[in-house]
Amino acid sequence: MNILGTVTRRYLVKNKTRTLVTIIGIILSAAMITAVTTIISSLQAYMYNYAVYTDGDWHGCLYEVPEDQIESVLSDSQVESGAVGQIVGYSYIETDNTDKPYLYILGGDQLFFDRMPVHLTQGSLPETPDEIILPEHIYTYGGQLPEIGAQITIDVGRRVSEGYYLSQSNPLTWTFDENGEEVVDEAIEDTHPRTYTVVGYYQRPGFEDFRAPGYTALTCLDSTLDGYTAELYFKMNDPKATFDFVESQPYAGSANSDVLMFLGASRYDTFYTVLYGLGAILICLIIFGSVSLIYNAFSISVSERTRDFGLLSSIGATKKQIRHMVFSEATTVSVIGIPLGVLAGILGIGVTLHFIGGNFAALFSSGFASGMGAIELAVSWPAIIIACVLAFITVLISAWIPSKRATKITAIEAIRQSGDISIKPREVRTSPLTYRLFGLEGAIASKHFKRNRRRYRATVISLFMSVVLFISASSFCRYLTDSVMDVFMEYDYDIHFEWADDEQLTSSDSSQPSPEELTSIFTSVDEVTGYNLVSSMSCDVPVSVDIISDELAELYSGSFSADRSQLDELFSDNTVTVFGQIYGITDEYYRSYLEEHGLDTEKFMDSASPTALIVPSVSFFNRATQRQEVLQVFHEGVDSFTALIPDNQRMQEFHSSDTSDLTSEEYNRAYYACYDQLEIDIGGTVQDLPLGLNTARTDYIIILYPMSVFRQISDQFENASVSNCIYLTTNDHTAAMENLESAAEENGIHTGNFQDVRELGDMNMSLVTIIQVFSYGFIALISLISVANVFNTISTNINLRRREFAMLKSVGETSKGFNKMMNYECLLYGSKALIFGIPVAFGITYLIFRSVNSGLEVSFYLPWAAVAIAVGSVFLVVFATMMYAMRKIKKDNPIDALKSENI
Amino acid sequence: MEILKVRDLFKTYGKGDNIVRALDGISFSVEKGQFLAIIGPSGSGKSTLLHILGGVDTPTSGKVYMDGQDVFAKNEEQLAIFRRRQVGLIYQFYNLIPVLNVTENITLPVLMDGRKVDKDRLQELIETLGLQGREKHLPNQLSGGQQQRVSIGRALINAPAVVLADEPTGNLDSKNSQEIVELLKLSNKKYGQTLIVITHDERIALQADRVITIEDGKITKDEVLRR
Repeated sequence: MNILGTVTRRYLVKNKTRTLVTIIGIILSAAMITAVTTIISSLQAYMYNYAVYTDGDWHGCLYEVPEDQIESVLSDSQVESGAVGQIVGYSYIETDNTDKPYLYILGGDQLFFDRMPVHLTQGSLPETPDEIILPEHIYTYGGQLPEIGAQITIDVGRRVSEGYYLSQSNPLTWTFDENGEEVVDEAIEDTHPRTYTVVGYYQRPGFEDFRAPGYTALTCLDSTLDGYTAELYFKMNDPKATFDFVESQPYAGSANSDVLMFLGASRYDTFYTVLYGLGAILICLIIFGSVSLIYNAFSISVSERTRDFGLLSSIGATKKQIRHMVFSEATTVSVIGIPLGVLAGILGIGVTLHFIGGNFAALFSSGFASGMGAIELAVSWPAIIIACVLAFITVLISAWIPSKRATKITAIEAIRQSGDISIKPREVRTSPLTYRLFGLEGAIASKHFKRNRRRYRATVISLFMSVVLFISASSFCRYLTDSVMDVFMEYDYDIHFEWADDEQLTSSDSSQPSPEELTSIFTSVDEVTGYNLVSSMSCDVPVSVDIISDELAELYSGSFSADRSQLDELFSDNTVTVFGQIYGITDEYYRSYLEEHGLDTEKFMDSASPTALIVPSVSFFNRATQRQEVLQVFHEGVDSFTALIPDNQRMQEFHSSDTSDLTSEEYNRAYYACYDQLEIDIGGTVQDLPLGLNTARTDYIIILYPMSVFRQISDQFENASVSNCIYLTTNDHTAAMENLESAAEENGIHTGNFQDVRELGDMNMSLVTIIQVFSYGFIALISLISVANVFNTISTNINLRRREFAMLKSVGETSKGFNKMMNYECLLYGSKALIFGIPVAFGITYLIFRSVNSGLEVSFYLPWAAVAIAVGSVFLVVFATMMYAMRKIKKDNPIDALKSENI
Repeated sequence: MEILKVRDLFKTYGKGDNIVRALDGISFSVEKGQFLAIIGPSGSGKSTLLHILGGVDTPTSGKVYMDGQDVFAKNEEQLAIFRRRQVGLIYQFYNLIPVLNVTENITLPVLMDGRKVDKDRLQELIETLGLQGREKHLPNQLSGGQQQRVSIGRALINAPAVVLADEPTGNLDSKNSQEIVELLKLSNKKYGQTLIVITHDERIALQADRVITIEDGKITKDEVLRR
């Protein structure tokens, strides 16, 4: 080894503590950078797997390729290989879904079943062209479904409309018949009977378009069929060429855009722009944080060795050799630190993903990817190499500036160390106040602080950065949690089941279950803990602007829908028509609700004279300000108003009649005649709504009645549309949902009307958890870097002043005096970092508040808890370091220290 | 033969009224193998002169020729190599590299030059310096006199054109001082080493071949004691 390399290495060994802190800094920085790049590669892999799981492992597809052309497409030099889906044809099936009346039979080859997203839920894959599997979503609309092992015989043919053959990419064709009714304008022709054995059911396939008119049933490719057409799903040798290749073919086709995007072959790569952008910002922050630490360490090491550099220079070391020494120091610590850091980073992310992977799964695996596992650690070489390079660059940047300084001083300056002692009296002048408050010790400490301003600045900056990052990250998390809670946690129930009065809930025409029957079926499920049955009827309420609040009037003065302005024209200028909703709540529930709110039960339950409860203020999304706002409905003292209930039959007749020769006055009157009137007496107001209802809807006037009164009213309006909803609270929404669906199925009730609103909320909670884990983790690590930095600077500074301390000791400074001096120095560090840090953090908090507030109404608050933690930690770290460093110094024999030439 | 020639050296610090003339027109030459002592009161400019001769400091004007080469016509890189090969510097405060042992400190200029150490010469030098058995010691394990002997070894290892010593005994007691001077004289005799020593110790100066006295940056006396 070269002699200068030996010198460097020995220095590193000699200054163990500092070398260790430097290496820890490098480990932290490399670990964090690796964590960022690895999380990106893991996310990338997860998203890719997700896309393959839902959409299939293919790049491009072509629909309707004739049998004799399949070979030529698949043997194209650009195509790697392709799966064939033989189009067997369409047949009618029994279903209540009017937009999806067919079964679409596709015969796949081996590759098709390997690559396409066919996820069995029951049974097995078809093995012969006589076996078939059906998609699970046929269930949603009921109908008589075959058991596994059952044989079905169907007439299979081609969809034809006006002489054209149609495929899955054409939705069902509709037209109007002579009576103005909508009818299907297509048929299945060229049919021939086929018999299949049902061998399984599978999850709704991602390759079936939502508008496709046929449920995709899969069988095996039947090579005995002649002249068929097929869907081809192929992989390209170069995924990037997919778009051009598909376009160059004479058949309709498409690209598997998600898979291509996650392969990085998409033309629309916003995903990567966002991901890489975010990664770049984080890495910049990390590098900034680490450079300040590692630079500091090198800078101390270099300035301690200034004399040695000068000496080497005087006996003939060239600048290049000196610079080389600094860089060989950088390389040595990197060689130890970076691999350890990369390992730590991978380990850290692995552990993190292990614990929060489930939250990722919750985020993505709803719907038809429920078979997807949790996110897993995906270590990619490019990610690690990038991390290593970035970490090494961090170290090099940190070593660069000190190395410049090391070579700039001439030998003679270095020997005299003139650079380090050039101070002017003015620079170290301290205020008399300091002297009076903290005594001589304080004044000396303050002078030190001023003299070593540059060195101390690094400490203050790193403390400052930690304070800012910590406070702003915690307020970021807090606001984020709040806003997600605000938007999604507003539901006070878990699952609802909604239907219209005239809706067919069962496939049999005979008896429809009554709302009460449904309620008793659902509440018999174990997991259900509470319920509320609500019926509702919408209405329009023409009101004078005098009785509604100014905000509501202003909201309505803008142009609303055409229908409403027709009503408005009929009335005087200062009348507007406001949306309203009349609710009927189960008597039993309503009674206890009234009691709970101290309202007169007799009065509000009295069906002889219906008395309504009104909600005084509602929240709504203001499009002008793009925010959720709260608004008062009526002025005080309004006790009745008239609601207009639309008569659907008259409304329909009016719309289909010829109105072209009516004057606008006549038109408006005829339109008004489609409504029936209802007088509503307001008996009181209540802001707290019954279970299930919330104010964040577009209805501004919310009118509450007990169910008995509501039914009495709704019966008066034969053609009013009434809808019903059962709101359920549960102790386990997922299990409840499953059991509810099976309970419904047992009773022949369609399950499509259920909605699990809690799942939505859970998904958002998962998102919040993920963000919190990552941001707090990030802050913790950045803070660690700062702590290491502070430790490094303070302990070195104290070490450098050994001689001076010895001198002070020799002239009679007491232990107490030392402590006083050190405490004052700590105070200087800490308060300086906080004086700059806290206002900046508040500024950033305000900016976060502004950006969150642009979408939601949240109040501004300062994260006092975080501030308290930050203040406490800053002083704790500074004092602890001082104590540590001083303990070593105090053991010194003053004479030895005074004599020691090299420290 | 003239090994060193100095012509009209000026070195000034500061500007205007604050101007300090550390060197004010110094000219002299040194014959190869000569033992020259430079004396003068503190602040007279003798250390500045020595640093300029060693190529670690630069003059404001004037020329230094060593072995016929113009020292300050060299660029930084060449100057560093010049120092490495042509000059041996000895300081009052030894200035050893604390993390290197005796052998390493002595051979530093050779190693830095990327050359192989001549083992025999090193062994002879260590014996001459009386450092046998201390080869592996670090500077802080040596006495002041021993440390200074290491730095003499470092100055001599390359057989430079000139050895420059700045108060080499300033930090030592009289016994150690005399030993150091004997060593220097020995190198001068044994290797024919040209030697320039700065001192304010009359007894040392009187052992030299020639004594130059500097006051206020000017040569006030130049006496040849022996030839």
